[in-house]
Amino acid sequence: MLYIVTYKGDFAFMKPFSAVRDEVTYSLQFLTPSTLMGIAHKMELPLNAIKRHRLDHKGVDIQMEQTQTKGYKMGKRKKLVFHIEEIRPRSIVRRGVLVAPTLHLAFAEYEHAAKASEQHFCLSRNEDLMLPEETDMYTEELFDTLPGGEFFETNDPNDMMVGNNRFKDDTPMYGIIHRNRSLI
Amino acid sequence: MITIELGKKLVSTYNQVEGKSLSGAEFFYDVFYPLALDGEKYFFWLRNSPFVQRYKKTALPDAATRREWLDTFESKLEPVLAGKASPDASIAPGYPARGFSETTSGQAPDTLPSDKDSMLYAWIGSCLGIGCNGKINLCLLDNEILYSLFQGWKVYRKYLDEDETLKGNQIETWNAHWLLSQYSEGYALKPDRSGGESRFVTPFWLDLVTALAYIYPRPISAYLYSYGNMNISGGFVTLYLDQVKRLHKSFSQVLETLEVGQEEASLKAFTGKSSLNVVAGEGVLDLVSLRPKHIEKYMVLDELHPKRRLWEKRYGSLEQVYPLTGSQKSKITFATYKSYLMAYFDEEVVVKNARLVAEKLFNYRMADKKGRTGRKREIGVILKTKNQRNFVLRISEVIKKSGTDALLKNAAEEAAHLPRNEYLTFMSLLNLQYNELDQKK
Repeated sequence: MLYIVTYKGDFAFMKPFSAVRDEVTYSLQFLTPSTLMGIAHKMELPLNAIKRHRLDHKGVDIQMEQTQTKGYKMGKRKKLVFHIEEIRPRSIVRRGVLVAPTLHLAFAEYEHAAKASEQHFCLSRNEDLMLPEETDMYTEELFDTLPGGEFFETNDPNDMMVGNNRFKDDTPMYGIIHRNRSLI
Repeated sequence: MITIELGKKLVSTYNQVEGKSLSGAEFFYDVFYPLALDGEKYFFWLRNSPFVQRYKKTALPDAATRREWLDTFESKLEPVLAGKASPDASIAPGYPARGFSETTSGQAPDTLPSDKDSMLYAWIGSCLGIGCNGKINLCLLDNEILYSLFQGWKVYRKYLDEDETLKGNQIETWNAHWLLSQYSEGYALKPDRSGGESRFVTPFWLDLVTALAYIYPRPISAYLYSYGNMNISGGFVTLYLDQVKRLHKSFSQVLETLEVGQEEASLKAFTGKSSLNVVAGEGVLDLVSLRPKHIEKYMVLDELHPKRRLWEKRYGSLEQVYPLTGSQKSKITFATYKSYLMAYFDEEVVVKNARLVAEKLFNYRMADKKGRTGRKREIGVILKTKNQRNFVLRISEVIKKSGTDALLKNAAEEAAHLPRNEYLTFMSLLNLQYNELDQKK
């Protein structure tokens, strides 16, 4: 039996690991194992507390976001000013953000689910809050029918790589992406 | 960074097939460089890389110049390997921009693979994207497809060397054409010569996906990206190729009965002009993404649907709106709707649902030891129900008595949406399955 906590939020954006110099980036539509471990870590639960997940949303919206450079640039020296101005140039990138995400997290232990159901987290930007809405108890069979995306880690290098796991010395994460969408 | 993963996969497949054990660097110098960059025209154009910085169209580089540029490339790698500089996009495709003052510098991760093999894998992997219309590349991490693309590279080098007017740097578009020529019969691998310069035109993405669907009729994970002046990450998508195949199969069947040529049988009718960007947004390609406009009104053309008369009054039946005697265009529109409905109400789904409902009903009967006869009678009534609404009502009674059951609820919902003749098939299958279970007991 799985203990389910359902979270809802307004927006969510998770950058794919391969987007390192992109002006348009679409969000991931599932959670990677390291994201799940990060969520468990934030909730002060064991890192492997979350057994399953389903992430559903109501569409993708391309939103503009202002970015700054990592480092500073030296400006020009001006008359009567003794210090040199330091500038961080700004730019605009576009992000494909998930609208109204719903996330079901499945815990194997009742205590973990109870603790998680009283907490919030961010997915993955600071402003994208996810708040607990409801709790339930499902069998695995029933959980499979929930709509949304899920990532199953297989550790088989022939499957898709979705990033490096920060909690396991940056080892690559391989697995299968599953997406459940009702035809009706 | 996905390029590293692609390169690694190709090299390991190459080693397996050829019985060798080349490292990434060895493969780059022995196999990749002679094909992709050692020629007057390249496979692809990496901005700011040593190979293109002094490249001029008026004076194409000869062998000595190219050797010199390769040495420059080597010397640029050295500080990175010594740990004095971090790798950037001018020496390895798919890497972040150089330095901390670029506007995209915030996206770069702290740890970048900076060993020689990884950086050279990135070069190999950047030639393995499959270019589709909408300037976005599809990338499949499947060993067989990657090795097939590698076979195509040799032919592309031949084309580039022999055809003087052929435009270079089109490896992604070439890959798409190569796959189409490999997987669909009678495909002509010819560049478009309409302008002064001959070039390959990017094919329609759904044609490529259809060709793949016939080889791999199963769900497959893919990655969408684009490198160029502006980099785009479309992210990971799941392609339900089994559903695409089902749709294309029924589409060509309907076209055959209408006596429309098979060359018209492109799934373009199902998506209009939308590109892979739409798929990237949805994160999935299945029958829902390929739904033709206004199909909803034909989905309720079932005899017992409460709104049927209203619909018919407003729109008429499918055959009335698109009479078969009409023009070629109306025939194709008719075929689009008809085949979508055929694929949507697929027999397999009906068979699967019938088996599921039969099992659930049987368990329901066996669960109650006291009232078995009562439940037997109840199920007997369900199995004879000819009205879809009554069927749903009776199943809901079962659910009420036995407790929530999402699978049974889903199956009943789907049965309620079936067209009349499909529903009768469903019911006869249900009877068959149930009797089988009953006899086994």
